[in-house]
Amino acid sequence: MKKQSFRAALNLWVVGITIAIIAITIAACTYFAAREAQKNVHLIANAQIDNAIGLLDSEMAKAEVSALNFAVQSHFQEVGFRPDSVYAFLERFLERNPHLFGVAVGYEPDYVPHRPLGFAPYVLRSDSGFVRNDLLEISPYHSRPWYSETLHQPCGHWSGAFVESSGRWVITSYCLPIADGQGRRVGVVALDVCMDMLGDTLQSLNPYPNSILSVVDRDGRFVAHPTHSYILNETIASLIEKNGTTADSRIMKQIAQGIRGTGQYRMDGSVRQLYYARAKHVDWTVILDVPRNDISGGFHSMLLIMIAIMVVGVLLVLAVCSIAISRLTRPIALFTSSARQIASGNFHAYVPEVEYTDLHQLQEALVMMERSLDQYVADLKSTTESKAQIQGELNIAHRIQMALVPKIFPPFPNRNDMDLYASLIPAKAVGGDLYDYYIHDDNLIFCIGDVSGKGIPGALMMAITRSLFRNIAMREHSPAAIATSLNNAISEHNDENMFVTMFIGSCNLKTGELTCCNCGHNLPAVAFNGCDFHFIDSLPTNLPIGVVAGFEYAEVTSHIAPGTQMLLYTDGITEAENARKELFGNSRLLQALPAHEASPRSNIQAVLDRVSEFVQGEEQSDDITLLCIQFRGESLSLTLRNSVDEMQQLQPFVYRMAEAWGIDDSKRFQLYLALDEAVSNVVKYAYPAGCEGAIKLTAQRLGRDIILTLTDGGQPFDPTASTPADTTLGVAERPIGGLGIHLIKQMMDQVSYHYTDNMNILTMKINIL
Amino acid sequence: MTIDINILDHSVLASLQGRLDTAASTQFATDMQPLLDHADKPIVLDCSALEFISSSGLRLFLTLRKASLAHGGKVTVRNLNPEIKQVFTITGFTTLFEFED
Repeated sequence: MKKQSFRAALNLWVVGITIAIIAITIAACTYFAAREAQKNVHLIANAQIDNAIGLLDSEMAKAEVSALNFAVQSHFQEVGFRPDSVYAFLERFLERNPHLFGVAVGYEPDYVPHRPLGFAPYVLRSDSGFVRNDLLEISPYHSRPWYSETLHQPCGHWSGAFVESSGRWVITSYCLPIADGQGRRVGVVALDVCMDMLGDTLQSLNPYPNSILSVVDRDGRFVAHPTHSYILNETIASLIEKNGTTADSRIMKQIAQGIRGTGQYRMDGSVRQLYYARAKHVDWTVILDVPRNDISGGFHSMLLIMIAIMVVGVLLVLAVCSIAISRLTRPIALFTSSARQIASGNFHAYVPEVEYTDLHQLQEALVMMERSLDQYVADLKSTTESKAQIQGELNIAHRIQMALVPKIFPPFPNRNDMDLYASLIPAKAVGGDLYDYYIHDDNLIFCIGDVSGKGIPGALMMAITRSLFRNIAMREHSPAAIATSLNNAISEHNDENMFVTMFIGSCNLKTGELTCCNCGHNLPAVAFNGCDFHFIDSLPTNLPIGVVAGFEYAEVTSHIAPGTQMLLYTDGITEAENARKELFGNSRLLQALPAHEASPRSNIQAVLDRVSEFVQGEEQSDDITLLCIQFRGESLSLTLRNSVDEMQQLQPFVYRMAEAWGIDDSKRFQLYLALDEAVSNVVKYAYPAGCEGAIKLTAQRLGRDIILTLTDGGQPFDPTASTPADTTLGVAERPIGGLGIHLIKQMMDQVSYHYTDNMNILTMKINIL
Repeated sequence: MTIDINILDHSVLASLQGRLDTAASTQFATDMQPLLDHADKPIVLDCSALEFISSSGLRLFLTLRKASLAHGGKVTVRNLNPEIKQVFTITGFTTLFEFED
């Protein structure tokens, strides 16, 4: 979802709500205004129809009164019947009755003197005054309906509308019989009312600009209409039908019956409202035709104005709100900037003051946060400093502790009757594991220990134990005696009830006599005489050091053959845990040790690699210590000068070796041959001519193997890298020489060379079993 | 290391005793000179009393064989002990000499 700013959201809300309120108001106003307007229109329309009917009635009534007057005044017998005077009378009559268009009088044939056919003067208005007509000259009037049907009527009546003789005007006539003094009917007077003029007069009552006020007769024909051509030519129904819509039969019926009513019809796509009512005098109906637009036009424009006002108002609200909101939210922007500065580490960034109470709380919170952060950072700094100090001390302690255990390998480079390697990895900076060894009168005295407890307490206990071990081992040489003394010394001041599991051993490097005392420590793993490692569980178990003072420790002595290795370890190895909480265990320890004979260093490295692979990065929980000792026994050695004569000593050396280690004749031959070739190489080539040098020969038996080592200070030469001799060549092609190295490689199982400290060292190994 | 040389009309017979190691090979090179002098004749080396041989000794055997070859002669080696026979095999010398047991 797209994020919008707080200001924009606020603006949107304010404008939205404003629009909603205004829209509801406009809708309500429009609705009620429309209702009121509708009511008004009804009232106005009906009122104007009534007015129109009144006008019509009054015009009619005036004509009727004029007719009665005429009937009374027209007893011409008394004044003498002269046509001129009759015409003049009619003209004067018209002058006095301006609402009349024309006046006609018809007399019975025998009534007017000298006029046996009758007399019918007719005067009507024209643009230039009055026009005189004699109806008798136009047609015999006695048979005309206006005359014949009126003559014997008791009272006058209105004729329908018709076009007068000039064809220019539509008129309607009020016809009234005239009687003489004796009450005899002598003629008929017809007074013309011009419908065109009456219609125009009616239009003054038209209430709306586009409304039409018209009058229809009983047949629905227009007798008054602003459009004069409709008069007598069109009906209301024909007009509606001309526009393609059918007239509502209810309206037509009501109009025909003269019922007051209203109704709608559609014309030219717009809705028109019809109001109608009957004018009683003439049985005509007055119709007011109002377009809806005229009715609603007012409030339509009002609606448009209101919408325009609303748009302007909303824009105004929007403008005012944006300014107001941006002013009101300015503190928030300032706080944001302050918060950013605080986040970047400036805990003294200025937080602006504000007036609003809620924002003031935010301001206070920011200021409080600054103070808290400042304090926290200060605390953190001091904690870190003190922690760094402790860490520094721990690092020194680590170095001191590491210096407490011997760490230079090989530890006794001049001795080849033994080999030894050890490793101590504390779980923390300092730990509670220890190991130690030293040689006294050809006895290798060694120990490994694990203090109950880790960290600093364990480390202190470890330091005490190691120091005591060294001191005691100076006077006591048997492991049990060392253990007993050590136990008494540690138990004496052991208020913390700590203890140490230890394995103490002593090996006579001349005889192979091994004495061991196990003080509650893990079982040692031993590889006898070139066999695989296995655990020795036949040793007597003693209490750990420091548990009970005065405990008598027991030891066991046995003989081991040259090549035998003993691996000592602490439970940090066997109890190393992986992520699944599995322990490394004893069987994995045995599996980790190389299948074939290897040096103590490579044995320990193999175990450490296997443990590291097993735990897969899990944190080391306990100190890990390993100590591996190999007894190599006595060795034979011979030093020769670089002369061929000196090589005569080789044969007795080899024979002595064979006798001492029980080597059969065939293997003795191989040893002899390899030695002769190797020494002869050195004698002939290692030193420049005339230069004297020494060759040191050492033979050692390790288990099943004899290891021969040749050391000389001549120029570097790696015999193992020389190209092999071609033993397939014939006599002629055979070079003299080049077979020595080939023979060495054939005779021995393993040949290796390295150049160290300016010395060529060639090591050859042969299995003698 | 000793060598007894018996020069006949049509062959030379030599008998070797002891260990022909590097130390002994210098002296042996001198002692075997009569064999080189008579390399035109077939030479028979009786090794039944030869206890040891190193590559220095093999060199002398090869020197003798090359001298013999120059005169179209041949060298026969008799009664090698198994260890020495093994050395001859390893070095391919079994293809250079005639052997008799």
